[in-house]
This record gives sequence, structure tokens and C-alpha cells, in this order.
Amino acid sequence: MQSTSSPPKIVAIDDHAMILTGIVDLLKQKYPEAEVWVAQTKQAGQELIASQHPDLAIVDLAIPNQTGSKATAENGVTLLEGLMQQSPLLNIAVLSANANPLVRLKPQIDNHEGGFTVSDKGWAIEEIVKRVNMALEGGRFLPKEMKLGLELKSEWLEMLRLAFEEGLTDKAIAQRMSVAEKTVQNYFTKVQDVLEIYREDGHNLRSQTARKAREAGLID
Amino acid sequence: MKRIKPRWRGLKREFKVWQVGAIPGLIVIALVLLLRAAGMLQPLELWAFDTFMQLRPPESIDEQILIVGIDEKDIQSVGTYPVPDAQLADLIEQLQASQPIAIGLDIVRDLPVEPGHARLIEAFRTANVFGIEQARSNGIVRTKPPPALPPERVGFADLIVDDDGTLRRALLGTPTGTEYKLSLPLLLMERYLSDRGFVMESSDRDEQTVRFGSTEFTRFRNHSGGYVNANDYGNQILINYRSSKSPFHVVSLTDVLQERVDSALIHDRIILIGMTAASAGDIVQSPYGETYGVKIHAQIVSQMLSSVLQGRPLLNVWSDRWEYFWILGWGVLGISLARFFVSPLTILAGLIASSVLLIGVSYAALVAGWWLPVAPVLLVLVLNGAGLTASLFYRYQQDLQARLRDRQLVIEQIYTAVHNIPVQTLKGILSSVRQGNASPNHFHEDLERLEQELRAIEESVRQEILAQDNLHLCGGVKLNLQHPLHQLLHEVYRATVMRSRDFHACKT
Repeated sequence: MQSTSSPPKIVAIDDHAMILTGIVDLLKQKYPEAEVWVAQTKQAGQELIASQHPDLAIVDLAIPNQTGSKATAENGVTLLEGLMQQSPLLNIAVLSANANPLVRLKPQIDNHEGGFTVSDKGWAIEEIVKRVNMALEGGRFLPKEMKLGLELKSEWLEMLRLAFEEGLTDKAIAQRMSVAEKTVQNYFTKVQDVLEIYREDGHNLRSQTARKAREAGLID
Repeated sequence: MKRIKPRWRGLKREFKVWQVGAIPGLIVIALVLLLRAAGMLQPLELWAFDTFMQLRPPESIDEQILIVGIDEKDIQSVGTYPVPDAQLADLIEQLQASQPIAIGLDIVRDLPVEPGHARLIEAFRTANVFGIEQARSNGIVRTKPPPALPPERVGFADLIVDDDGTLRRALLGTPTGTEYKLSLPLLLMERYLSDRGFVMESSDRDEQTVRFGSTEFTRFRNHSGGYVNANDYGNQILINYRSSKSPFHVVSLTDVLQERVDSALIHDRIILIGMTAASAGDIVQSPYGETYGVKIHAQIVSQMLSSVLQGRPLLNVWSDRWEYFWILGWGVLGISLARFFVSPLTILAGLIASSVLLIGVSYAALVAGWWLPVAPVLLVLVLNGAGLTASLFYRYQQDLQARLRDRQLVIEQIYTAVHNIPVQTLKGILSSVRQGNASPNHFHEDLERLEQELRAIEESVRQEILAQDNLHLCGGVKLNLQHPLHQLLHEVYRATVMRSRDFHACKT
């Protein structure tokens, strides 16, 4: 949710430099001013994030706990759990070969107010960068394995009703729901992810959301 | 409390292990003790005793004693056998000229052997001449003392031989009907010691035990050392043989008669006269091999004199209680070898090391005058150590087989899993490719499915290999019970929703 006007601060945590270098290079093309730190272990990553307060954390799921130990997805999952708890606004881009270990964090991810995207390491590098960038902009993208059809929280439904049935502005919705305006925008990105509406489609996101929500029977 | 608990539990577990491992070991110890009590181990013990005796470092010649041996050459030069009284009288006279302390005639002279009987009676008059008799008859005729000698100068020459024919004990005194008789060696040494101010006394603890000054000659009992139910009549002691090829100066009858013997070898010594001719038949078996009777008497005199005057050790034995402790201790050591060393080879090395230690300690003890049990100790040590080693080998083999079986099972499982699911998918893809109706979309989906199936197999195999705190739900869902409860509940919720088509009542 950080604005992109000031140069972004990025922390990347991955014990394999290969993919990381490609991503960082592409990100630097887009944000030449960006500051990037790289950590190879869970512990080093935690320390970096605590000291630098970055806008974006790129996290490989399979990382070692400390130098010399074995890389496991469990380490990545517990790292993410801690990050989401400590910095609810942190934008997170996850790289993984298998998103299944993330499933148990789903409720926490749904509540997380920062961007959260998951990329498959098997994807083309441009595709991954697109998701990382999406996270930096506060967007959300979860893989199919993590979705159970149309899984929506009641707040999101309420927000959809207020937005499209009563036609309220974000500010009015925020007042009616007694939440911050940013939270309303965050709800939108989450619903859009559930409905699989992403920015690259080149359409107006709000009207797309209204159309698909109506098709799915979420609003009248 | 928290710290003590695991330690206590560890102790308890250790105790359990010992219960299992130690019971056969303790049975082995009990069996060996039974064998020993039944006397089955006595031959082994005596063999070990003889071997250690022979291996002791050599000692110097005893300069307190001279043996005059009448050998085959003497008999030939005399020309008649038994050697006539005249020659013995000449011998005694010749010896007396150099002033020995005592002369013991270890030759039977209950009857005159002419010529020269009158001269021998004359020689017997001197108060330092001692003769022999037989104290115990063995059912045959009892040899009587020379009539000319007063009873106080007659000692018995009876020797006690073990069942295996070897002589290891000396009889010092024995009751015969109304009298109590003393042996020739005891009389000779008493004479020697009385010149040096010692008086023969009884021990304060045991009336029958002989004591000179502070030296007590502990009596041999029927269970002393390795003996079981030995005959301990009279007053017997174990002979601590002087370890040497020639422990005494030995001269012949002819040497003395022809005055070829240095008088220093005779002066102030105990002289023992006896037969050293094989034909005379006065031969016994000692731990060192066959020996003439006169040399055995010399050994007995020598050991007693040396212990009183030079402090040379006598042979001591432990009380039965200590012997049993000793055996038990080494048996337990044998068991603990198997308990505390893991690999059979280490146990074997430990066993060899402790056996060598045991033998070394026993040998050193015997050199120092203590006869410790060896055979039963070695037996419990080796039986327990080796027995448990063997069982360990067996256990190891069993372990190995079980592990191989497990591995085989896992391999079979993987094979079945691969064959049942991904291979079928692969076949489906292949056949649709062959038929040419594989659209890129379908192809892509199939390949993704194949990847998921293979990954599922990898997961399930890992579950088999690592016994984790996992809960497996049907449908291939694995829950790690170490995760927080809310995360677990979410996973269960997902698994349930995903399988909602299986639950008819939940249909929406």
C-alpha cells in the first residue's frame, strides 16, 4: 500500500541467488532508485526487515533457518507468519515451487492489509516480476491451490453491497463500515483476486469487479 | 523437580535394562559358584596355581640349609643297599666336626642295618641329631622311629599329596591316638630358631596354629584357596615353594666323607640327610615336577625359617566371603562390558583387556603371597562378556534384517504408487498424443496433474521414512500437529470443504 512516488526499499530473502538476481535486475529497471538488501537465511532476513522497514519483502518459501542448515518450506512459512504479525502493512511477494505449505496461513493472509502475491518459481521471470510488482503496489494474487471456489469474508460482501448496490464512494463505505479508507481499497484487491480480476486486463477494475460479482451472484 | 525427573527416569530405565541383561548374567555367576562349591573347578584352580608358581621370579639359594643327598653313585661306592649304619655314623660324625645347628636324618632306621649299628647309636647321642618315623599308617605297617633316639628328637616324615598326585601342603603336627606328633621340618626349624631366641608358641586366636615371634603359620582349612573339601587333618600349611632351579646347596655322601665340602656350608646350618637316588623311591610330585622327599622337607624348613627371620611371605588365602565377592565383582564387570560398550568388537577388546588384568592381578597377588581364585573368576568374566557379546551380535543382526525389510517395503510402496497413478496418467497422455487429439490446453492440464501426482508420492514417501508427529487424514491430507491450533483448524476446514461432494448431507 506504499505509494510509489518515493524510491521503494526492498528486502529479498532467498538462498539461491539466480532467480533473485533476475528479479532484482528487472525491478531496478523499473525503479532505478530502489534500495535492495539481500539475505540468505530466515534469521538474517528477519533482522534486515526489522532494521530497514522495507516496502516490499520478496521471500522464497524454501530457505534455511540459519547458515548451514537445511532449506525447508517450513522456515519460509514461519517467517511469513511472523512478518504478517509484526508488520500488517508490509507488502510481501512469495516465490515457491509448491504453494501447499502456505495454505495454513490463508486466514492470516486474508486479514493482511499489505500486498500479498505468490509466484511459482517455474514461471518465466517476467511473469514473476509482474507478481512482485503487483505486491509492491498492494495487490493480491494467490494461486489456485489456495482458493476454494469463491471464498469471501463477510466484510468483503458488505463492501461489495455498499459499493455497487448503494453506489457509495470508498470514503462513504469506510464511514459506514467504520474502517479506514485504505482498508476498503484493500478489501477491493482481495475480492478482485478471488474473482480473478487483475490490472493487466486493461479494463476498468471497478466495473469489471461489479460485473463479475453480479455474475457470481454476490450482489443483485 | 523438572531436572531430577528425567535423571530419575534414566536411572529407572537403566535399572530395567539391567533387569533384562543382568538376570542371565547373574544366573551364570550362580552356576559357576555352584560348580565351584561342588569342587568341579578345583583341578582348574590347582592347575592355575601350579602355573603361576612356576612363573614366579627366581629366588636366591637358601643359605640356612644344606642337603646331603645319598645318590646312585654313593650307593654304588658303598656297594650295598640300604646304606649301612656305619656310613651314616661316619657321615654324622664328619658333619658334626663343622658344628651344624641340627642334623635331620630323613632315612628310615627303625631296624639296624649292620655293620656299624653300635656306632650309629653312638652318633644319635648328640642332641642335635633328629630322625624320622611315620605318624599315620594309611592302613599298612607304620614305620617306627630309630629306637636309639629319644621321642623329642623324632619327627614324622609324612607328606600330604593332593588327588592329582601333587604335593602343595606341609603337615606340621598331627594327633596320633593319645599323642600329638610334630614333623621333622618343624623340629629342625624349632631347634634353629631357639638358638636365635625364638620359642614355638600357639597363636592367640587358634591353639593349633604355630607361632614364632610375630609370625603365625595359618592353618590350611578344607576350603582354603581353590580347594574344596580337602583333607585338613592335623596342622597343615600351604607350601610357598622357594622359586629357583636349585634353591639349596646339595652335596653327596661321598663329598662329605671325602671332606670335599667346605665347612662353611655345614657350620651353623640345618643339615638334611636323605635319599636322592631314583632307585630309593623317595620321590614326590611338586608344582615344579618330580622332587626327592628330602628336598620337600628342606622347602618346608626353608619357607618357615625365611618367613620368621627374613619376612618372606607365606601363602595366604581370602575368607570365603571375600572370594565370593571377588567372583561376583568380576562377573558383574563382565555384564557391564556388554552394557556400556555398544559394538561387539569393543566388548571383545574390553573382555580381553579385563581378562589380562585379572590374570596379572592374580599373578602379582600370588607373588606377594596371596592365592586368589582365578578359574571361577575368569569363567564368569568370559561367559558373561562373551555370552552377552554373542547376544549383541544377534541383536545387531536382527536390527539389520528389520531395517532391510523396512527398506524393501518402502521401495515396493513407491513402485506401486508410481505405477498406479502417474504412470496411468502418463499412459493417458501418450495415447491421446498418439491418436493426435491432444489439444495444447489438455496437454498442459495433464502435465500439471502429472506433476502434482508425482509430488504427492514424494510427500507420502517422506511420511513413511520420517516418523513425525503427523496426523494423516484420508484424502491424502497431512496435518503437522506441531503447528498452531488455528492453522490446523483451517487446514481441516479446507480439507472438509474440498471433499464436500463426499458428504451427501452437506450438499449445497
